Amino acid sequence: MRPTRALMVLAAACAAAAGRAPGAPIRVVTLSTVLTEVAREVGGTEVSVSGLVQPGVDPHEFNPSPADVRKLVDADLVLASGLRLEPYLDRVVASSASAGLVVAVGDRVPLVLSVAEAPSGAAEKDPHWWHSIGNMIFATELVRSELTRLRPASAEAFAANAGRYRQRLEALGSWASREVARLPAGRRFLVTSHDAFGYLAHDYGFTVRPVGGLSTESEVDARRLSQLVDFVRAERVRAVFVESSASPKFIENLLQETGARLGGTLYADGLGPAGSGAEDYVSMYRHNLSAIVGALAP
Amino acid sequence: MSALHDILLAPFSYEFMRRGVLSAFLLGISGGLLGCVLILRRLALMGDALSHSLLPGVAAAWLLFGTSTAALFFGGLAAGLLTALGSALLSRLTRVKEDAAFGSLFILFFAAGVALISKLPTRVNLADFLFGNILGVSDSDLRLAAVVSGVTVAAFVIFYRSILLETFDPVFHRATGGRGGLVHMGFLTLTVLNLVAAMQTMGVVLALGLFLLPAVSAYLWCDRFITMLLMSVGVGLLGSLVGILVSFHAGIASGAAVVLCLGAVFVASALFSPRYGAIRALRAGGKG
Repeated sequence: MRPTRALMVLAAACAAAAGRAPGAPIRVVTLSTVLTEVAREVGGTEVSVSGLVQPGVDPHEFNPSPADVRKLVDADLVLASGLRLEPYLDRVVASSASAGLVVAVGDRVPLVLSVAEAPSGAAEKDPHWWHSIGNMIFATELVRSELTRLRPASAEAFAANAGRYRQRLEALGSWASREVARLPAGRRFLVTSHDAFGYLAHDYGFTVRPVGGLSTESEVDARRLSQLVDFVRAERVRAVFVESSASPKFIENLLQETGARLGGTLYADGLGPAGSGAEDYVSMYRHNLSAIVGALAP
Repeated sequence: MSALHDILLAPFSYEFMRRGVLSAFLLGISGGLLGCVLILRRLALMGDALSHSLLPGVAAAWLLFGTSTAALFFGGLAAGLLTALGSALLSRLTRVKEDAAFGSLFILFFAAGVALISKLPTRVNLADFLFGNILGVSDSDLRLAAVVSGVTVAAFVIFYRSILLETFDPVFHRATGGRGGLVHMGFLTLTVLNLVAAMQTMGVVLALGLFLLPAVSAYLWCDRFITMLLMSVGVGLLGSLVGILVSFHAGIASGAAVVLCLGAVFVASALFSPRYGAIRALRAGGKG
């Protein structure tokens, strides 16, 4: 009797999970401000998107509250940045058995960079994949196919939405290439607070020299900082950049020490809050790239 | 000569190194003095508790006033004093003893701080708060460290007798008309001041290392209060200098390098002190 009963409970649970009202929006929960936007753009009126990491909050520091975990468990689809930017995710998934719903976008994108973290020398994957427009186009496609799998009836709408968003990304890409072309190769240096712009640098041939490591939490030592000072002086780097969610103190000292200018504030770890001029992906990317090119151009 | 120059002087051709070591020196002087009283009065762990309780004040100050040093200073100060005064009041008005009151309040404050920074868009970073940016010392941080260090040294000079009496014989001090409670609260305030100033540069955990390790090392060598104070300050200065140089040459996080150097002095003192060290105690035990 017992196995049968267990099976019945299981069947009921499955029915409950699958049998949500057909017209109700797909519940998408995201752990990244960028993916919140992608899900809204692609899903349109067919989805209700809830972003757990608020704009302006450092995702390296974010930890989900119980209410957040409940949203994660109740979601039809969870979109995460992946590449270990959400170290808590595995535990949450393990304890709530919703593994099938979680898509760690960064783990699937075509371009993944690795960085040798200074002290250990071990290569670590750079989680800031969304700074490459190619990866964003892939992410759009991935979200489209996940949403289509959940609601095949709306496949056409998703495809149309994804197509429109993709066009905007492609237009952004060609604008960016034209902008960067103004910078001679000898001026493409990116000195920032932490190591978040590897993908942007990869796309446009910049040399990145961050003060800190891949996480905003990584510690800084004197040797690394002195080498950075030497680098900025030797290459005559004109401007260095602070980030919206990292401590500006090292960069401020670097300015005093080297005579470089402050190039501006970059959005490294996600979108900015409303009114910041970086509240959506295209304006965030434009803000970053304009600041970089504007400060470094002859 | 040139090798020596490379090891000792060349690192200080960088402005950030000069600033880092200067702020460590300033706080090493005041922290070395404070640390002696903390350990003699068995308040070492209370310092730890106080340090963690600053977090919500700093986070709230950041939300309200942004990144100015003055705002962060007063935010931290308010949170630290609330914890200290709150524990004193709790222990006098309820059955709870002061250590339990402190232990409960500081963890409450710390949790409030973690809740604030995990939910709100502040640039306060838990790692910065705990471990600091000694290589990112700004002008205002240096000014703050200088003022706090000056105030602390002045307080020790002016109230030396009261501090001495309250530390070694509080009952006698109060019997002879000393304002023991006032000295105690003044002392807690000084501790909070120093912690807040050090928080900007060293982070509270490492700052506590700079306060306690030199003092406890000196305690293993000295019998007189005044020599203990001087040696504690000396160990603090030397440890800061060596630590920052080690960080420069070996590529270790700077605040941690300073504390590890101070820790080495402490361990060596605990082992080898001729009168109070472990080896002497073991030898004496072996003979007896």
